[in-house]
Amino acid sequence: MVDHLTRVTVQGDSARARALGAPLADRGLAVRAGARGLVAESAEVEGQPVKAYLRGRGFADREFQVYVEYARRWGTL
Amino acid sequence: MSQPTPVAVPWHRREDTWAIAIALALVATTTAAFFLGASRVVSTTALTVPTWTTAGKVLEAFRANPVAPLALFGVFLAAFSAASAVIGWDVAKYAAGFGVLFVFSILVTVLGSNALLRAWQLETPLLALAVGMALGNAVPLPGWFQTALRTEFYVKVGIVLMGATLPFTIILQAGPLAIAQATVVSVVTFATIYLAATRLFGLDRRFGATLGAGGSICGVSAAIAIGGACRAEKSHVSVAISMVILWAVAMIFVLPFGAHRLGLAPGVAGAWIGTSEFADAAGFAAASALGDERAVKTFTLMKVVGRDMFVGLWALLVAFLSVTRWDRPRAGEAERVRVGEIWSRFPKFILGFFAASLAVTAILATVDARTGGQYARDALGALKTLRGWAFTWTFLSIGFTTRFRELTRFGWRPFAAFAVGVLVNVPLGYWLSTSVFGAYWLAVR
Repeated sequence: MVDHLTRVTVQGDSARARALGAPLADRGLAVRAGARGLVAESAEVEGQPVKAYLRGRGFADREFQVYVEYARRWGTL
Repeated sequence: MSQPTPVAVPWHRREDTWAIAIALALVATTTAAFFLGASRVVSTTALTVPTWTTAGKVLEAFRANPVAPLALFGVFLAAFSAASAVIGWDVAKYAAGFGVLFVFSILVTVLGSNALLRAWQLETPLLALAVGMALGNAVPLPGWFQTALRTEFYVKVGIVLMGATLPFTIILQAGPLAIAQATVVSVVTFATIYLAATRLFGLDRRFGATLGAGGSICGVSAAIAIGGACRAEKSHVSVAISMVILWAVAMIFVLPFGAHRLGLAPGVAGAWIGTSEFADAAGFAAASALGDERAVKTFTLMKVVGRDMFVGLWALLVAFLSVTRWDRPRAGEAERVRVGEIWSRFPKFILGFFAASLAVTAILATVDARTGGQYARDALGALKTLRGWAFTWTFLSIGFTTRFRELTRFGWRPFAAFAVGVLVNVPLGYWLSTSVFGAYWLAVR
């Protein structure tokens, strides 16, 4: 009934911020350089599992932001 | 048939942008025609069907203005096709599908204007739903026809046009009251569904919040916004949407029937529907089924001004709760929540609703009483008729796209949690609309 987009943003250009790019790409997100840092997006991977994955890789919650947008598919009231 | 997620879509390709543009263009054109002495051009487009007992009366009405159906079809086909082209829908399929939808809308409007059916409370909204549901569930609909079933798009056009017929002074007077009533009912219903889901039925907290939002704030839009804000699972958002649709469709029939049986005044009944219906499109169907403009006005005040406007704020609160409590972060390490969440989840078509209301109120304030009266009759009367057609396409689309088989794929626990919310929401909405704020809703003309 819905499509979704998961977007992970990482602000700054520190080594720690750049280090987030590789695990996000491994998880299947498309990683690119944004105006303020890294932006990783996926229409397949859901938001909460990404957060758990990054935590499992030793990253703290404050080092990234996960944003999920759902959109209704055709025909949904 | 899926569409790109909104964050990836630029503003000029969004449904809200086009709904606002089309409706405001209609308001501007109708107003310009009135002041240029060309109201007849617009009134030709605003096709109306009289109440009838013999077929001769309907035929007479069509013979008196034979251009009207074609003009109405032409104007909306041109506008919707332009929107389709930019949004990215298949224009040829959309145009063909809209043609068929338009024919259905003429048929149900003619049927719904029959004196006997009206006496049985079977007016156009309910007939449109019934016809759509019967056909949509009985026969497979061709893909090109399905392209034109854009419930959300049509209801947004209708809501912005509604703004033109609702003076801003009424919004200012009744708005705070609607917000107060909506806040009480939203908080109580959200808490009820959330607690029932998580404490009674052991569902996940994010799932509970998504169900609660769908049942308390603004239906599917809220389930989507809050589901995204707290990062609920996709499958949970889908179940919450199924719950909303199932109950919203049931309430289209239950609430108007209840309002009639309980002898409620139209204004009070509209406010009750605005408080206790779960989706905008379904609510407009229920309020329109009462056959009184006052019911549609108070419904709009309650639902659009009182409830829909605040979905962004709810999203921010739930997002904050999600990252600071449910994620169990280490002290001082919770993920940051963007305040921009409020704007990004805000339903933008509401801006068009306010803009239309403000524009028409400003026009009425600058002309003398006589001209104002003529403007209300000629220009606003035509806009009201056009709004009625937009809603008829909405109701038909709801019917055609409601597939009961697809709505039954959920476990009993989310259904039970939502049902507990309904059991609280409906009587609470009735009490608030009739006893606490009844005098205010009665005063809305």
